[in-house]
Amino acid sequence: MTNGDDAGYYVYGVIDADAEVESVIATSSAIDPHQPPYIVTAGTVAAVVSIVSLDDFGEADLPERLNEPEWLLPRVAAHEDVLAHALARATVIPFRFGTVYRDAASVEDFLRSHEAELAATLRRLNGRIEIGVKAYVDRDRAAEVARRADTDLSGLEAELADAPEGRAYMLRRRIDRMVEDAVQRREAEWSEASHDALSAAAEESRVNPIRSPTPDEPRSMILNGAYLVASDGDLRQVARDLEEQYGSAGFSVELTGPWPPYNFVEQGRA
Amino acid sequence: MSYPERSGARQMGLGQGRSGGGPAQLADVLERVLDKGIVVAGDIRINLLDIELLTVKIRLLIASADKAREMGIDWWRDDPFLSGGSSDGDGSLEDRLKRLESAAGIGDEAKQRRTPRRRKDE
Repeated sequence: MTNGDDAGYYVYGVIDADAEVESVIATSSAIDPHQPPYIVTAGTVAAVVSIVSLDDFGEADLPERLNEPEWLLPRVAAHEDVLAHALARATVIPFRFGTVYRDAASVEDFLRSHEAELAATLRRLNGRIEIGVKAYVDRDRAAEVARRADTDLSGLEAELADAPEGRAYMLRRRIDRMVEDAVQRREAEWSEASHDALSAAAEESRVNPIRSPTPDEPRSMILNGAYLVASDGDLRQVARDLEEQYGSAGFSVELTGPWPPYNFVEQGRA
Repeated sequence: MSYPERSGARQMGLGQGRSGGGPAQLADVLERVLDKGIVVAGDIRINLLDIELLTVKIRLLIASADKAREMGIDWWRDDPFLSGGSSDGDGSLEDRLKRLESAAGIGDEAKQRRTPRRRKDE
């Protein structure tokens, strides 16, 4: 594909014009693998771009293609890979998937007309990265711990041992309800405690919707958070501390990243 | 503005993973690249906002593992959920659909963990 009429400019994100990322992004996997990413600069800001075919990103076919995994997946992966490389050397304002301009001049126009806000965002984000933290509860484990820890329950369990069948059924249901309540209380408490502690170690934080569990997954997610930090050291320590504190009762934490600060840029249209 | 060289920052493809040695999570990437980030009106109208993302994700997960491997994208290759059910149909499509649907937000929890979790006493 040549940089002719059929070529478009896919924009991955914006960095400072002074950032030296060319060598690292050149080795990343671009949307079109034959068109390595590079920088288009205007004033103090620069866009990370690569050339794509307008046949590939044609307006007419796009709505359908976005629903084709074989089309969408590698491009989403490329989008993230390019920004991941840039992030190693620069502060990154990540764009959402799918920003395409017809020519380099249009990219420059965009940069120029938004230079002040982009520069302000870069200053705010200066050197920051996003870390994703998800906290989980192993519900079976938590239920087992609740059964052992709760004195009311052990009383009922003792009563259950001698109870006639009808009474035993009622007791069992009551115990199950109490265990479920206890687990839910713990989940709420751990979720809040985790987010509070992680937020205290971060400059900004966001809570995203919990992803609901599947039947064969014993863990339920109780926190899906994103945290803006200069480095991930403190968050990792907080995560270790939380697991130290609650881990034996079925709690665990997972960190992902570093990510470009997807969760900490304006989500609306620029 | 300074851009300190981040020694700890990964300069790696998705295949090499990014969470403390663990592989990248498909759901985490999708959640960010398709749902977050600045939305800019380029010259080409692409209206991601109109797309029912969940539908996209479900179709992605069902249909993509094999094809993605063919395309050389293998960041979930060792994911038992995504790779296991997709190749030669262990588990009916209906079962998988059910699991996916119950995953609603299509989560990591739809997949089995391969990264050992740190535990207090381990």
